[in-house]
Amino acid sequence: MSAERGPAPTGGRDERIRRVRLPADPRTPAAARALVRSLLAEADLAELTNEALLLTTELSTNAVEHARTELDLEVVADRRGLTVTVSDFARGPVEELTVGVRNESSDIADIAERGRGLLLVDHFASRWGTTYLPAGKGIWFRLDRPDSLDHPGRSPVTAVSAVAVTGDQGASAGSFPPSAAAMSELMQTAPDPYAEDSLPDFATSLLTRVAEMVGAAGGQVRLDRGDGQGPQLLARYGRQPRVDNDLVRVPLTVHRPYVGELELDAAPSAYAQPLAVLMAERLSLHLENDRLRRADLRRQAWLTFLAEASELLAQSLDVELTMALIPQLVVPRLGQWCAVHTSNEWGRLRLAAASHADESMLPQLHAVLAETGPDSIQSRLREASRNGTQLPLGAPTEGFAVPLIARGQRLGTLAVGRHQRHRHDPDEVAVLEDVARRAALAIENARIHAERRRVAQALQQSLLPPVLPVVEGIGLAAEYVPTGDDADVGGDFYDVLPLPDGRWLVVIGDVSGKGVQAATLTGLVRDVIRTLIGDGKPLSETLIRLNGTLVERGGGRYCTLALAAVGPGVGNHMEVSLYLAGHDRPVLLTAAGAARFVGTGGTALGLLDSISSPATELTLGPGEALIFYTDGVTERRRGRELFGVDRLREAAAPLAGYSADVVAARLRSTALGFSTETPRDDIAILVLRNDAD
Amino acid sequence: MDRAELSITLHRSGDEVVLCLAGEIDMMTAAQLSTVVNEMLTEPPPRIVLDLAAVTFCDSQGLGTLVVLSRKTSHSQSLLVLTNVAEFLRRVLDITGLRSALMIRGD
Repeated sequence: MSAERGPAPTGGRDERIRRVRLPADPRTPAAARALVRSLLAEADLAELTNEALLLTTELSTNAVEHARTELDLEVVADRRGLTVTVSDFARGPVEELTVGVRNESSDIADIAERGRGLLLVDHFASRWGTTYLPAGKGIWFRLDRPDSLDHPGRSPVTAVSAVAVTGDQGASAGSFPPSAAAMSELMQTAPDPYAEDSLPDFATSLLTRVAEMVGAAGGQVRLDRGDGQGPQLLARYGRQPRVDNDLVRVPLTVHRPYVGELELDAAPSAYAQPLAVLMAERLSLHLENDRLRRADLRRQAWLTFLAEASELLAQSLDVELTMALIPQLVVPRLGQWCAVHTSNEWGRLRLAAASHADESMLPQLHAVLAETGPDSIQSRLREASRNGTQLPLGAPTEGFAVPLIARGQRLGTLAVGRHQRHRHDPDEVAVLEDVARRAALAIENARIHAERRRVAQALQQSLLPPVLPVVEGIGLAAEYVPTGDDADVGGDFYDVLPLPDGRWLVVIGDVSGKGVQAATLTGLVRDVIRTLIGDGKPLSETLIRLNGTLVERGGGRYCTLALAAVGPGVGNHMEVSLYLAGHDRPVLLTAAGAARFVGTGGTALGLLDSISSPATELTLGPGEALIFYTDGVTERRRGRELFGVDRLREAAAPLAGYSADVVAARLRSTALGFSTETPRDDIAILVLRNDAD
Repeated sequence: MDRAELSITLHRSGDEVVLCLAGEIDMMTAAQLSTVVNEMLTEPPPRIVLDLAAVTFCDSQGLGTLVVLSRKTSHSQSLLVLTNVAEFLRRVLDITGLRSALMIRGD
């Protein structure tokens, strides 16, 4: 047998070794005793005789009775003591070695006949253990002299105790340095690079080697990964280390949250300690690797989670939806339950959304959240919101309360219940705070967006006449569709106003761009037209003045306009003076169903210092209509295709004979129905019809 | 001595039978002791005394045999008493917890 795989290696000059192979025979134990007795005499170890003979007998009897093969006996004696190994050739694993328990009964009827062999070995041996050989397996024990220098005063032989002492008498093998081969094997043990989780195997093989080298009867490596599961057994060798024994204990040099310890049931002798430290260091290195790898994986997972959460939150511009989304993101990843509260300007909290991993628990969660009182969740939430810091929630609904703060505003709180099995680790708490920060921003953004939408709607409405005037003989109808982004104000507008000479002026226009600046310019255009017309300025001059104002004040924006002054003509006809300042030509729809574009193009306003604005005089017969529109109609998109002017004209033709309202409404639905996309630009349609019979 | 040897001599004194054992008790010789005691139990005397003064060795097989024989003896309304138990054997009895279960004279 190799020294590395057996009991403590020995190698002193005073060493005496006897090896003999004995048959599976009842006489074998006696033969083994004879061999041991002679070697003890030779090595001057007579004081160990009683124990050595008893233990040798127990091991060889065991081999004869159970293995029923020949057995090899090896006896090694040195100055300090004796090591005996009995190995057999039975195949298969060593049967579970059970150390019998000491009898506690004084009634002979209750007492077992057998099972005392290993109890005696365990009691008398300084150390003992098992060893594995290619052909079989063995059990060994070591007996040290009572006057062994390493342990003065600890004597397994002469101590006569009234009661049996269990546990070995940890004498030491301190004077036998480990062989170079054993050392190199210890250093070459490495984790399997391809294994999923190679640590337990690696730790076990390191522990086994070290335990065998120092002759420890047992050992274990415990590791607490700080994941809430407490210390776990990573590796184990031999029997459980006994607390009342002298043990070698080495903490593993790992970083928080990992904590671990190596424990060997061996006396901290001259080299047991350093060897254990060496092993602990080798193991610690790999544990650190493991810790970093796991931390890295976990962080990657958290980063992905946060990125996904952010994206989801960013897409939601609706406050209610955002509130409802947050618990769905948190549960069950970051806790068993989650509740979002919003606070009003006085700091009062109101439950906005709650979720529980177990839906049947939801009513109970709502009940707990509704509780009031000094120890209630509500009061903790108020405290968290007031202090602006996260607070732990106490039992029974353990968890965390995190304030929702965005741009310095206290928006409410996020409450998260702990996981079913473990508490939140520091990483999770950090992620939770991050989620709270992002959620708060999302809520704030949604609120700002809602506010913007309200402003946009109010602004847009202020730019369009609430109702069109009712004029005898003239049919007027308008349709307006805002852009798909309802937080934006479009640049389209229309107006109908009386001229001082009794005619009516119909205006439709489009200010370039969108948003508040376009809207203010739209307001400006509308007001300038109303003012100039009110002052009795002719239309051409109105356009020139307006152009001047836009060049001066428009900030680079421009405007297209269609103006139509409508007055009574001969008979039941209507006279129309049409000015097009860069605007699309309107469609003239005759009563017979012919549709054509009319008008002469002029210059758009706000681009050039001087403009041309030719007037086109038209006569609208009864039932004839002019259809004005903005480019929101003709540039409505379906993929890469535009609605275009031709489709508009074709759509208008069948509408001949219908009232202005019907024509406007039909064209609106035709334009919208052209594509499933929401309108990118706003759409305005204004229909002017000669309603005379 | 490569072979465990146990010799047993029998004395009767009054109502007890004294068996003087000499040698080693292990898996080889324990059966021998069982046979002698079992024979005694066909007509059990009030007491059977095992004089262990000359026993130089006794292992767990020997202890098991003593347990079995004590039990059988008490079933036969007799008593098995150990005497002259050597110091090391007393320790072994202590360790295994048998000292209080077996009758030991001189305790």
